[in-house]
This record gives sequence, structure tokens and C-alpha cells, in this order.
Amino acid sequence: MFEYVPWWAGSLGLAGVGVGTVWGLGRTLGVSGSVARVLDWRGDLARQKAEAAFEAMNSAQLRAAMLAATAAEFGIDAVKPPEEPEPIAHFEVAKTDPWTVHAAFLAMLVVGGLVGALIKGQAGIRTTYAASFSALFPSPVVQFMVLAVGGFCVGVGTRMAGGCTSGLGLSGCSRLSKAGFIGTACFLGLAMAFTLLLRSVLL
Amino acid sequence: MFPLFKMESLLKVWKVNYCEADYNKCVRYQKNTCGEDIPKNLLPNGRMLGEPLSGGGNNKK
Repeated sequence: MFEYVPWWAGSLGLAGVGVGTVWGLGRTLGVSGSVARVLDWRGDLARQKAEAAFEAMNSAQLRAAMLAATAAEFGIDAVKPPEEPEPIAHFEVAKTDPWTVHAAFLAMLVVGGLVGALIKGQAGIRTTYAASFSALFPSPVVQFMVLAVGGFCVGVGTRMAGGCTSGLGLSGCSRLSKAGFIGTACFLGLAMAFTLLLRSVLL
Repeated sequence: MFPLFKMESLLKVWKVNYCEADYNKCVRYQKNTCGEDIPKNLLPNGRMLGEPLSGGGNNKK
């Protein structure tokens, strides 16, 4: 049986990671979101390229581009010169990290877990499943299929829900987000119900 | 995009036609609801501000 760290230490660690991500990177923590960003690295590069050209424009170029885009979309009549000159204020917009930052974050999740296991002397490759899982699905083929379908559902579900346990549970709830509370209540409640159901089947 | 141009009268044209009319056709809204990142220079019609205007689009002249 594994020996876990005290609950309060885990809580402090998770809170530290969540707060540190907001302070250090200016965004909320989200593992599934980071996975999506890494997988969409081509789109990320294209977005960076498009934004780089945009950000290099000065105020006059911005105004000219906006005039041209508005005229092209709504017709030249929609572009009326203002009665008074309007300043273009450049505000700070939401920061987006390149995909490499997300890749580093995901890689360090693996490294951190490995280091923790090495420190506790638990590092190693396991080729067996939990006893309850093996009891429920004795066939290796079925075990593989169950895990494959489960992983697929997790991937699709987290993208549909806009986050996973880290994004909805840690980041969402800590920011008092309604979606975070609803999402966490749903996946945690269903996980508890399903666990109880399995236990009643197994025992 | 909106913070950049919130003092621009041009923005009002876009807001009337997209935000206040049929926001479902706004590409920025569509991307947001899909959880996708929204480029700063993405216009509601799907074009990128600063890029050449030739090609497809939703022109309504």
C-alpha cells in the first residue's frame, strides 16, 4: 500500500500551484487546456504570426486597417469620419502563452511525479492493474478497450466542459466560478456514485 | 480587439451588426463557446485585422 503525504500538505501544494500559475503566468491552471494547446501547436504558431504582424502596427495603421475592414464588411457608407478626432487607446489585452509553455508545464508534471516516486523509492513500471479493476474486467483485451474508451471520453468530455479536474475543480472553484462549481459537482458526484455502484457489484 | 477599439466609432458598427444583432454568427463568439483561443486581431466576420482583404468573407455591400 502506498504511503501518502498528509492531506494538508497536498492541499497546500495544489493551492500553491494554482495561485502560482495565476501570479506567474497570468492565467488559470488547466491540464486539459494545456494538452489541447500543445496538440494544436500549428494553430498556435499561426496565431502568434498573425498577432505579431498586428502588434507591430502603429496607431495610424491600425485605424486604416479597421476602416478598410469595416468598409469591406458593411460598405463604404458605414465608415463615417467622426465629428471629433478619436484617440486610439492601446490597452493590455488577455495574455496568451505559446504552446511551448504548455508543453513545458506538461513535461514537468511527468518529471515531478517521477522525482517524487524516486524520492519515496516507488519508481517503477507497473504492468498490473488495481485488483478491483482486474476483478471487474478479467480479460486483458477488455481491460485495454475499457481504458481506451474511458480515455477517449475523458478527452472529449473535458473539451466539451471547458476543463478537467484542475481547470474546473482547482481553478474554477477557487475563483468562485459557477461553471467550476457545477462541473466539479457533476464529475465528482458521478464518480462517487459510480464507485459506490461498483463496490456494491464487487462486494 | 474590443479593448483596443473601445474609443472608436468604428467599433459601434460591428457591435450593432454582431454583438447586438445575431451574435451566433460572430466568429469570436463561436470560438469562445468552443473553448478556443481568440486571436487579438480576429474580427467578428472571421477575418484577421491587418491581413489583406482579398478572398472570401461575409461582405454585405
